[in-house]
Amino acid sequence: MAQVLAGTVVLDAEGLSTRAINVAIARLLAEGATDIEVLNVVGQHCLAVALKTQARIHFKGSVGWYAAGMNDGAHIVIDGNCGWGLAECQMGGRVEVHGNAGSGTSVSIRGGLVFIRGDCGARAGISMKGGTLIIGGSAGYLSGFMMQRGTIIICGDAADGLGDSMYEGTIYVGGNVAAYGADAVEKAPTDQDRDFLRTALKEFGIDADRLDFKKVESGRRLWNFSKQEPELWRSAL
Amino acid sequence: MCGIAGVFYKGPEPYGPLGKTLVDMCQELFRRGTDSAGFAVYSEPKADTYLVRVDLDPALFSEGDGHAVADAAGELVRVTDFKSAGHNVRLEVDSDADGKLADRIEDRVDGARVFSIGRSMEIIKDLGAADDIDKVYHVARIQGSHGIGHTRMATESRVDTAHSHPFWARPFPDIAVVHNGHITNYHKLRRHLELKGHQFSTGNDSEVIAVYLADRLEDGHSMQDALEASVSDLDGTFAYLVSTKDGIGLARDQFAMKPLLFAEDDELVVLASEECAIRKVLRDPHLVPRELQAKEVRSWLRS
Repeated sequence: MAQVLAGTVVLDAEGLSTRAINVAIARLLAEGATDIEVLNVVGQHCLAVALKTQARIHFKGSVGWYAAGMNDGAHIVIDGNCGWGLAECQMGGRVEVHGNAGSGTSVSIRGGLVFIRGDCGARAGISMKGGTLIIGGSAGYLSGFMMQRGTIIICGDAADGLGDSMYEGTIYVGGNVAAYGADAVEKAPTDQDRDFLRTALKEFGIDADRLDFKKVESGRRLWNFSKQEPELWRSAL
Repeated sequence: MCGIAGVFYKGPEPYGPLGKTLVDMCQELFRRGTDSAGFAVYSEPKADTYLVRVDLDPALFSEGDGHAVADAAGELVRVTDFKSAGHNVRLEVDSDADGKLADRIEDRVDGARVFSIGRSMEIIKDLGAADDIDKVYHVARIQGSHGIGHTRMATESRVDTAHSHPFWARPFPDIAVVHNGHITNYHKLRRHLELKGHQFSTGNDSEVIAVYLADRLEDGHSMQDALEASVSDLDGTFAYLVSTKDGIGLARDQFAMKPLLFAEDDELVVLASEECAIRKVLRDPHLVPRELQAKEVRSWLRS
């Protein structure tokens, strides 16, 4: 089933179930593989989850829901699209999707990098506790909701409710924002921000200087409840 | 959780392996809904012909029985063909008697439920997986121009054939809906539509979407207008597909709570809850399915 090609182990997933693919990946990693290419994936769910490894796993096709969940160190590359819940609770490592992503991408990650070349569905990067999410295209409804730490870079547009009730962390948007969520505040990016964006996007072939980035942070007015601001709380809740 | 799927063939001769495509997609979505599955398929209409699909209570009818349905229909219209499979009867008739045919069949035949009447549409649905239904009703043999499918995981109403999707917008010929989600203002909307004279066949919240859209279309609104209005008039979570004799429309709720993707090329459009169902029937890696945004509506119609 698997064959070694110049350091890269090729795994043909044609006709294999989620479990069979994950078991094969685990076996190859146990045998010391550091670079695995998985061919003929057709949207199977829960692929490459909970991997504690430094290896690179490259899916040549689209994966389904909950791919790369709880990733801890692996470099996971997906040439097609991914479904909902990519890299949920990632601890570290790196996930790259070169197509589009479904809803709930990079939810609650604590570290590492998640890169989406295309568009994301709703709720991208909600409740992030660290790490970086880079979206080459646009982000859907309520992205960055209740974000607690970390960075989201959206090169395209953001839909309604961006950064709603975020505690901390930073969102950068290169396109238009349909509407900000409760207590998300637009700020002017500093030179330091621009340097960071230039560096972060360069390796993905995106020229940060061609985009007019906005910086979004928490207004921190929802940190403590206040009876003096009933309108703020009514709209936030 | 439920699975929905749709296919629309483009072009001047828009007939393809519709049944096979929908069965394959719904089988791939089986885990999203293991209670029942169903299809609304649109084949080439014949002159002066309406297709009628009737479900018979298996407690009252043995397999292959059902001539009483043809007799009841024969009181109002001319029956030109009769077929029976499983506990399902298929008639070809020359008219729907201005919407009265379904009521007549159900009045006359105890245990009969009319699933659909249309010039080109037939609804085939039953308990179990898509593959099981295909074994009995041979859905995969059907050639057609477009259609929708569903795999159901029941949450609000009972698990039986009548409460399975697709739902016909009775008595409007050729209109059906499949839905993933939960309509929370169902009772209010249903009362409103009943006051306008519409009737409901089940207690399933998804049926209200079909009747709501048919009501709008009957009032002269375009499909696009009806879909756009539905996003604010329907409360709750939904990704739904509606099919008419002209094509397919869809809408997604304001919170984007239920998944729906589509992929499109020059020849066809495929839609499904998950990409694996799309990849099952469309292996061109260059076609990139896209997830719909919150509140997004779309339609593909033949003029």
